[in-house]
Amino acid sequence: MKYLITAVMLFVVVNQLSAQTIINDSPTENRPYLRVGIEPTTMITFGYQRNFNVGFLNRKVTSYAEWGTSMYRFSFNNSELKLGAILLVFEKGGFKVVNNLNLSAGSVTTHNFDSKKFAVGDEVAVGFYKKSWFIATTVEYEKIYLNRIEHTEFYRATYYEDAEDGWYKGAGGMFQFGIEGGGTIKRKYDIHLEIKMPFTEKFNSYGGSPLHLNLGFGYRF
Amino acid sequence: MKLKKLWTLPIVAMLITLTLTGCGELLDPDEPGNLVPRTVAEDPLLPRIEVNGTILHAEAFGDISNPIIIFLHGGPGSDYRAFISQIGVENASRYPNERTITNGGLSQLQDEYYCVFYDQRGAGLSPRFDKGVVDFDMYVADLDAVINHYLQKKENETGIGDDQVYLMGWSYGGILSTGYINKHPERVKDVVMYEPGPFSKKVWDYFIENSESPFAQIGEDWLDGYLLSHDHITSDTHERADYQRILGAFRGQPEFNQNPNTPLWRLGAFISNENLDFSQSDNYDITSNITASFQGRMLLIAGKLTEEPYPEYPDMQMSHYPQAEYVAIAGVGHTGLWEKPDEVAAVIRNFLTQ
Repeated sequence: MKYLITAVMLFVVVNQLSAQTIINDSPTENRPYLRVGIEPTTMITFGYQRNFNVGFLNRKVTSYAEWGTSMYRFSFNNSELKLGAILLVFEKGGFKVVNNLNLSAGSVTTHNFDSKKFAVGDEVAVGFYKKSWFIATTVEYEKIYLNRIEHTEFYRATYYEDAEDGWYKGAGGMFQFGIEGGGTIKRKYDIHLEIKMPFTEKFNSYGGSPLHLNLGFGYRF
Repeated sequence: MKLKKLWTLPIVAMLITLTLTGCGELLDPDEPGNLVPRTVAEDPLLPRIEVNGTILHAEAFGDISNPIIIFLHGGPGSDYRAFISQIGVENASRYPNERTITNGGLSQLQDEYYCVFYDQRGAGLSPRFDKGVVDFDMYVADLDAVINHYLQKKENETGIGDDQVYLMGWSYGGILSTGYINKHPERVKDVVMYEPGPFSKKVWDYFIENSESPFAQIGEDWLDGYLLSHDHITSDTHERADYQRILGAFRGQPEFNQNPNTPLWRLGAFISNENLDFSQSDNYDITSNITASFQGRMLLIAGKLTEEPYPEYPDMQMSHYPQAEYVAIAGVGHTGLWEKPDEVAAVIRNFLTQ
């Protein structure tokens, strides 16, 4: 039973900065990080990672929590919280397959509606990981499983007066395909770059930014 | 390596998700009527006509013995709500019996003309169509069928055998008017356009050269919300796509000086994505037959605020017509016919009675 609880905690703990995978091999246990980029709008994200050993898995797991907000509308109302866990699935020499599972809760305000969303995401990274650098291809899927949507007076007056406020079952999902890489300086400072192409879960155009780009910085201790 | 245990983790995640989504009655974002209004295919209370193998959301105002004006909305994908609304006076409920006045916006022309408004196929409150089904030729055929429908109705009800109508097109509706006249020049007496989209590649190129880069909008609140909303709603279905697309309505091009409060019922996202593609081809020109065959006149109306970034645009557009006039409305941009409908209606009356 305790294994099950631990496993649940791993998945309830939450994000997706896969450069954290590099810390997997690190003798240090903690890393705060900062990420800036476009995903899905211009965002700034503050995060913290911590390594710990999971006995029954016989390996180290990197858990993390991060909060990202729109750079132009810096607020809780336009932000996202993620909790996740990163786990090495396969390893041969420098070649690794790494899985990153996360849960997220986000909020957005627009002139038409306010939405809160809850989603589960999983990213698989396949690449070469050395002590001071890595490069990998990534595939990510995120499923939105719950939305709370409330419409503004503007939306009702200008477009649709009978719009329904309330809890909605998931309003879709998305895939992202990308490449990422990073390096470590003096065994303490990490830098990470990723570029991803988003699609809807039915492989239609995502509709927003055609590419997502992130630059991350981390410090290990 | 205890791989068997690793496989339990996704199963646990799935169980958590199923538990969370199974709690209580949840609304369905894809059910018509929840996020965006039902179309005539789903709401029997909406006014309609049946033409060319489909039903279209449509209304007509005035005495049918008068000359007929067919109004063509923009987009593609938009609707006729702004045509019959009027800033500060009437916001045109989709149900005619819930409106406070019956001659709002340009429908005030009903005292002299029989005014016909319809939502184009896949747009507004007309039924949705999947990607790849609708094209420009179908839009032209629909317009021809709408014209025939009302001319036949006129003959049936009054015995008057008209064979021509006036067209009034706004933005993309101007492109549709021109495409129609190019194919059926004998069916149109005169045409009025409010800031029509480009009729040829040359005009299109001019328009692009003088338009701001979309990147100039980075940091604007509406764009930030629009982009961030993609993490909350993805656009795989009609309803979600429409809901998301309307976030950008009348906001995306600041040089158009549009009033963002201009009303719409629904912006058909799938239609707006595909029906202009043909206009970006190298040989785009929908006017090849007009100069030689069209006997009528064209009036181009524009807002002064839109004229400023595109000073040569009116002349370039009018050069495709043998007889054309130009009137600019002060203090407004691309949504000027909603903001100053009395002034625009007066210009139309003056032109049509010359």
